This record gives sequence, C-alpha cells and structure tokens, in this order.
Amino acid sequence: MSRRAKVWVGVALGLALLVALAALFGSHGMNTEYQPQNEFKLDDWVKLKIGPIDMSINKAVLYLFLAAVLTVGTMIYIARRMTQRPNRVQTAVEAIYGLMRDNITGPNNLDRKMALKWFPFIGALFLFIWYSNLLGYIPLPVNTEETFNVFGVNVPAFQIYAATANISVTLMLTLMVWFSYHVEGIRRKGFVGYLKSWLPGGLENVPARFILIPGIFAIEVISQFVRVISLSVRLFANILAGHLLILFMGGGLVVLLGIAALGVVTLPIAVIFFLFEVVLIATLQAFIFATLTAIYLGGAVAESH
Amino acid sequence: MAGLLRYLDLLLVGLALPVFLAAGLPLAGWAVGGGAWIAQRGLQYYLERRAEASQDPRTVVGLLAGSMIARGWFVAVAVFLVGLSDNEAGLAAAVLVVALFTVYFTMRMITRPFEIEAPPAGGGGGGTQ
Repeated sequence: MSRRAKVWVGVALGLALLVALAALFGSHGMNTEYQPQNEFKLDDWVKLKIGPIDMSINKAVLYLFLAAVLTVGTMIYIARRMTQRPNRVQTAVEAIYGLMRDNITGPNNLDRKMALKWFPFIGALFLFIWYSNLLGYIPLPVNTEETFNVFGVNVPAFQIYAATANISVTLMLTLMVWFSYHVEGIRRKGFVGYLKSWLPGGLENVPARFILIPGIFAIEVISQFVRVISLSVRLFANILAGHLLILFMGGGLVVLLGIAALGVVTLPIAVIFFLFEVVLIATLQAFIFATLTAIYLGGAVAESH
Repeated sequence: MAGLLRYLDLLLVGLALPVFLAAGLPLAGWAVGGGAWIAQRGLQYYLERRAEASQDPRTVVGLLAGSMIARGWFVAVAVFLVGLSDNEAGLAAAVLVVALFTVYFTMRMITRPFEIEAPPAGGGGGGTQ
C-alpha cells in the first residue's frame, strides 16, 4: 500500500471511529459552566498594593520569576564550567551563543561597537523570552480556578500558561527596548539630529520639500509608536493563539460542545499544535523579538535612514 | 545522571501508588493512568529505535511524528474508557497522566543538551571568547 493510501485509510478510520463514538455517546449539550477565558485569568495569590499600583503576586509573576531564575541560573552554571574542549551541554550553549552573536547581533543589524555594548541586553532578552515561552508548554498546577483534592488539600489543577501570553509582560519588554533605542539614538546624534535622522536623505533638494518633509516626518513618528504595538502584540498574540489552539483542541472544544466523540479528531490535532509551538514558535518568537531589538538599536545610531 | 532524569517519570508511576493508597484515590485510576503511560513509553522506545535504524528521512519523520500522535491518542482513550466506568477514577488517571507528562517533558528539555554530539577533540572552543 502506498504512503498516500495509508494516510487516507488512517483518516477514514478516524472518521469512522468518530461517527461510531458519536452514535454511542451522543451529545451532553452545550456546557455553559466552563469558561475557557478563565484559563488566562490572573487571580491574586498574594495581595500587594502600593498606593494605586497593584503589585499582587499571581501566576504570571510566578512564571516571570521562574523564567528569570532559569535564565540567570543556567547561564551562570554553564559559564562557570566552560572548558577548552566543550562537553555536550557546552556545545549546545555555544550553538545558542553563536546564534545570538552571529545572527541576532550580527553585522547586518548592529555595528561591532554597538554589538559589544548591547549583546548582554539583547542576549538576556532572547534567553528570557525563550525560557518564558518554553515554560509555557509545561503543565503546572497553577489553575486556582479549578482544584483537585489530595489529602484534604485543594491542589490547583494543571494547566499551561505563559507569561508572554500576557500583554502587560510583552508591553513592558517592548517599552524597555523602545526607550533604550531612542536614548541610544539621542546620545549618538543629539535630540534634533536624531529626529532629523528619521527622514530619508536627499529630501532637502526636492522641490515640494515644505510639504513632503512634515508629511514624511509625521508618518515616521507614527511608525515609531506603531513599533510599540507591533513588537508587543506579535509576541503576545502568537503565544496566546498557540495556547488557545492547544486548549481547544486538547479538550476545551469537547467540554464546551459536550460531544466526547469529537476528542478522537481534536486530540491528534492538539498534539500537532503542541509540537509546532514547542519546536518552532517558542524559539522563533524569541528570535524575532531579539532580532528586531537589534535592528531598532542599529537603526537609531545609523548614519543614514 | 542524565539517564536517570530521562526515566524519572517511570519512577513517579511507582511513587504515585502509595499516594493513591494513602489518599484513598481510586486504584483503577492509578492502574490505567500509570499502565497506559508505561505502555506508551515502551512504544516510544521501540519506535525511536526503529527511526534511528532507518536511513530514509521521511520514514524517520513519519515514525516520530506518528508515534507522538498515536501515543497521546492511546493514553487519552485509556483515560476516557476508565472515566466512563468510574468518573472519579477517570479524573485521578487524567491528573496522574498530566503530572507524568509534566515530569517527562521537563526532564526531556533538561536532558536534551546532553544528547547533542560534542565536537571531536581539538576542534572545540570556537564559540567561547
């Protein structure tokens, strides 16, 4: 039997099973009690308010803390054990280091001086986001909305959650980058010189420059602010969408619709989404965020637009 | 050490039994959840060996991807079936399987760098400065 025929037989068997199970178990009707959005709700575990600022500890804070500890801990641990002849772990870390040095802060994005200056920041940012994203695929008992009882203790249910699936987290990371590259640009060129550098070269000689220059400058100002949205929303939306897809395919849809048989089809899709997210999206999104940071920093100090 | 960490989830299946007994959780949940988990790990071991032995990249990808989907499906069906006979046992089996997956997946991420081939002697150290 050819490979294609085997795939079609597999699909047909799956559908036959779906129909058979649907006929056997039927539907329990729509489930209105289950609220999938609550998976991302942040309940305060420790209330902490300083004036108008809410500093309460919730699961997002826990995930940020775990990612920070992992980033710092693993890098210090490996850095202290660097040897001339690398072992397996050092080889893996050097591959990541090479990716950050040659691709993210490489000469296409930053000149050598800027790369040396900003590598610690950009490298730490990449690793922190990468760890945050990967942590988001490990089911942990953090869902205080639903609990299960062991020895009389209500243990929070397992769930997957990522700090980067929270817009506040990605927005703060973006603002750090945004202010950093503007400050770097102003330090290098002066305030007016930096604003002037936003305009493309050669506009001074264009006949309609008195209309063109303000118009292009206005567009550039908007584009600078749009970067805050694009950088933060790209990371947040990708991670959130991935989690939602896994959540719905992994059982959320079955529970919501009350059709158990649907799980026959949705569960394999959930496994495929899970693999796709872990293998590709988690690393890719961290890479994109760090690379854009390097590009923005490089652009801020570049001689021409 | 890495070898032990790689099979920590299997150790946890054994450690879960006294917890189930002491907490009065349905033993059918432990038997089905733990049994299905061990069975799928056995299947994983067998299919990974077959993939390693193959020279055809399409066969390797097919075996590994197919194995992951089939194993997840198999465990879910086992939990579903025990849940049909006893709801509490189904819940206990599901929680056990998720806990086992957490341990397995975490250990897999930790031990993954240990599985990367180190460069031969004399050729290393290029990335460190």
